[in-house]
Amino acid sequence: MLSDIDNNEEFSEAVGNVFVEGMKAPGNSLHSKSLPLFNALAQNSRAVPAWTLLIMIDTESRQMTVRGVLEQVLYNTSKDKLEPLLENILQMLKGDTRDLAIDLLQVCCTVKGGSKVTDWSKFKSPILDLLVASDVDLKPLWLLVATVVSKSDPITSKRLTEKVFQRFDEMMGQRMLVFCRLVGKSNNAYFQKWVLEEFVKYTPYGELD
Amino acid sequence: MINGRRINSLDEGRFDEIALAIVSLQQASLLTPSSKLDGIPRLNGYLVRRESKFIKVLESRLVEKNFRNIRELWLSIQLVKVLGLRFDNLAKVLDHFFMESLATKSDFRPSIIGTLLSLVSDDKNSVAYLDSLRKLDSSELESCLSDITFLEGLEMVLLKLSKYGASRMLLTLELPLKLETSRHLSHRLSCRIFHVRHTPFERHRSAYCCLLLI
Repeated sequence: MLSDIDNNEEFSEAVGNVFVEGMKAPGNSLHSKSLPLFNALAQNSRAVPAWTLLIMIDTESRQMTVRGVLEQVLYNTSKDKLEPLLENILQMLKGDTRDLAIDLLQVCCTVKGGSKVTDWSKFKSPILDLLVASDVDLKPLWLLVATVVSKSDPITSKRLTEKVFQRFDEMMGQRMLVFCRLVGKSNNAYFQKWVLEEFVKYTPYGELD
Repeated sequence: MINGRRINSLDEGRFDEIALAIVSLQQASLLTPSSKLDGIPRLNGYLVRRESKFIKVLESRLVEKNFRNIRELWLSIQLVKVLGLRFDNLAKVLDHFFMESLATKSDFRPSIIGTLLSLVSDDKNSVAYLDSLRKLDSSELESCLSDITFLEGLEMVLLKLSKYGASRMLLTLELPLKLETSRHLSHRLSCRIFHVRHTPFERHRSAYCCLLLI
């Protein structure tokens, strides 16, 4: 079905609805088979070798379908039933669906202002692992890092900020500025409370040589 | 010490990156220039150690007037403003840059002059700076007046003067301008200045208007 999506929005929506309905369970819950179903969808939509531009477009439209399915599921499921799905997506970061997983986590963090995520601390370690991986597409990754810092609970946000700034030791440059600006834009209070504090520690504090 | 380790690896290239980050954050309204008069550098209230390498590099660049180009000068002056940094001889150094900026043609000039105007410390210097602005010919002054940093600096320096002084200075500056620019400037600055001070401003405003008519 996915390979037939191409750029046909109506067909894509219809396929998406099949998966959304398949994953649903009574009481705003998830069906016991929802995770294998979602994984199958994600696996089949992952990037294939980009032999031609046509294949890349096809992959993009498949991934749009996966994002659409996830959004629907997030809206229709109560937040305490979503934890297995979020953990499943965090697991996807380890496999060949990593780039898609970054995209999907971004969706999880932003749907309903991030209120569907109950335990933000689970994001911390996988995100820090991603920061040291050299072959990650930087824009979506830093957008995700800044989003998690902006939306998460104060403790996770502060801890993650500290760790992120420690990472800047090895890889500086524009990334720090992008991170600071993104957090400042989406959560000025967190920016003023700990991002700026870390920034000041990072930059003008310290001893002379 | 982790912070020490971080800053100890700061080289010139890294200084520029951090400096640009600070100025960019200020331009995004995430940082506001320090308003404290104690001269201790701060970023939105977070103290910055004077002995840190970052501040030392900034101070030495300013004192030694060690700039590869006018952009670096612009960046350093912006940092002085954002951090609220003060040190011995800073006023003298800024005076020097002000005079140099008046004589230098560059896209950065209006912004540098405006920032330096906003850093003027006392009335006496304010008058001297405003007098010096008359060295600019009308077209140069017109181009400066289209720069928001210049206008903000001008506004701040005029606010430091007495109302009569401010009126007189504003009038002197406006005389060589085109009528339209002059009106724009009067509208923007005279209202702001005379309203902001919360004292019987009407009389001064009338005096200013009379002066304009003359």
